[in-house]
Amino acid sequence: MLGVAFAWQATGIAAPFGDLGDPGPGLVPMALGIAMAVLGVVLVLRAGPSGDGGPAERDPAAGDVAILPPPPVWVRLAVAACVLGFVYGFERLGFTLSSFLFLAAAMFLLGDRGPRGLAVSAVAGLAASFAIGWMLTTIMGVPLPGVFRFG
Amino acid sequence: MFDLFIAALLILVDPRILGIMTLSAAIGLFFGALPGLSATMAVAMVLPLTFALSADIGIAVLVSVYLGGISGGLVAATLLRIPGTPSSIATTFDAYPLAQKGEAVKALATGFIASAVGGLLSLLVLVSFAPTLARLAIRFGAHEYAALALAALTLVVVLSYADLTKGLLAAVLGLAISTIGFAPIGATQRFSFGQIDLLAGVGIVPFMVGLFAVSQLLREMTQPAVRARAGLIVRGAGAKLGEFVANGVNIVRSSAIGVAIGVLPGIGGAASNLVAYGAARQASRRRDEFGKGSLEGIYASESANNASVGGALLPLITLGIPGDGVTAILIGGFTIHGLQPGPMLFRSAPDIIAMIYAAFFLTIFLLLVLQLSTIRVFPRVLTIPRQYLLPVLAVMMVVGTYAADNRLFDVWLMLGFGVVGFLMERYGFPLAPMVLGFVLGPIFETNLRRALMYADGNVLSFVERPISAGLLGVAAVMLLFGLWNTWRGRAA
Repeated sequence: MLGVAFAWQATGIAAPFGDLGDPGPGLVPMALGIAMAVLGVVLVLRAGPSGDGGPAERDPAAGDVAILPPPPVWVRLAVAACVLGFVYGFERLGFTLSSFLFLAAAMFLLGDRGPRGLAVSAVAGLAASFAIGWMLTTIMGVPLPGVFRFG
Repeated sequence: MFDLFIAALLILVDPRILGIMTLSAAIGLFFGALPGLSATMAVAMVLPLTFALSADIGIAVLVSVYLGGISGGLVAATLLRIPGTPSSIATTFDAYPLAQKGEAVKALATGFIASAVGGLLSLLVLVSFAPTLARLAIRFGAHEYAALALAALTLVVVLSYADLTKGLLAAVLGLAISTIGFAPIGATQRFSFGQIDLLAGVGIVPFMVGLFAVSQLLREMTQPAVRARAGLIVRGAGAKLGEFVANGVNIVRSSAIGVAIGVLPGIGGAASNLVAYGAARQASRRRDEFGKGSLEGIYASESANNASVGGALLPLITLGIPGDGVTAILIGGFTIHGLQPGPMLFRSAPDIIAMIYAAFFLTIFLLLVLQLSTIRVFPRVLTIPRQYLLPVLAVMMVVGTYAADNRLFDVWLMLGFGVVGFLMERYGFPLAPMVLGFVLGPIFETNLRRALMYADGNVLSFVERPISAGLLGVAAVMLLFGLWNTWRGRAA
């Protein structure tokens, strides 16, 4: 469907150099739209298993590694909300403040969700936001809004 | 070129630049070492940060991160039997058993030395062959470039992925996304739907960071993670000169395999270490020791995977054609600094070429020093808790993408592509062909249209020119090979 929509949109693209042998700016999008549609149909119609989409199978040796389960769904959603909040507040609050708030919240949600975890996350978030800000602005020279620095 | 190489090296050893290079190599090592992260992700994340640097230093940083990422994979392969990157799969076969015998330091040191020598040999090949290939490529016209882009894309799709349809669909999707914004000739607006932020098209940074870094972060959040236990201890004595000398032929052979496979689009380090390992085993008088902690196996795998980097850079700098996801991101690094990799770069900016060589050379030594000096300490990165690592990575992604163009829109776009990348991989669609499609799209379209204009619309002109006909033949043969493979797989 995406391919058909793409090809259909491509029909509306004007071709300013069509008379010089140039197929115009619509040819490639049109061809891609058709290819997408055809491949999509092939994918839908064909039977049998598809390629493995998952990650490579891990073969950890017992004793050396710990298998950590993924965080609960509500934590994932909360972290996702934190990311969105971080991006939304990035320009408004500046780098250091928004990064600190995000890091502290995400570290707390993903780690020990008790009073001690909150304190550790706050300290780690503060340290990380200052360290990253210092590294990016001082060493790499990256211009960022609202970077607090000591000194 | 030698004068330029020395000049570039002198720039890189300036204390501030050397600090940046060391940091870049360390970042690459870190990403390579941690299972779940990768060299590709490292290069994607560092890419936007190079905006603040001059073009030559920015590219040097990317080369350094790339090499570091490939080298770092052996740490987890040795200590956990989990290859940090696909380039170290064969390393697990012997380095892990050796580490289990209490010789972890020997296994790691052997790997570090093999990586350094493999890297140096591939640099030698790169320096020797790049000018010749560039001289050949300078004769390429629009027909040849369009055909080359198509052939490279087909090679990557067919050689790298089992599912041809999904690989092709991913490539086509990448090509389609590259058509958003101004058309390459005539500047006609396409698919921007009146969005001012899309007028110039989809930025390479949000696209790359989203697809490779954000999607990986989402996977880390939704899948069980593997981390080393807190009590990880690295024991044993180091490598010996006699062992190195005894593996001289093995290293040269494995490096040659690494370079040769690295040159081919779509295969790269992931296959080179396995092929070199197999060749070393075949040639060895002590075949039965393979898989039980053989040093020959470690030398073969690690020299091959680092040598593949030099191989992968060869078509990148001489033809401007990337062979896999990570070199596609490197192309992005050139693009954001206003450079177009390819044969003309040797004439227009030989200092950049010299800087690539110098950065490669310096990074090999930086990595060796970094790795050997922290051999008992660095592996502790494998114990970093996820709750600290993932949020910091998320901050780096947001900041990097924002800093690339100072546009929050790009950050939202990056998050969107992250979700797309995550869903694509979840349902078996490979990301590398999509990125290659995105990078090669403008090259393909521009040259296709130019070629047709030169030939007054005659499509047959593509098969009337020997090089473009040959390249199209390669693409057609590869496609048929892929179809045959698919048919054979289904029949089986």
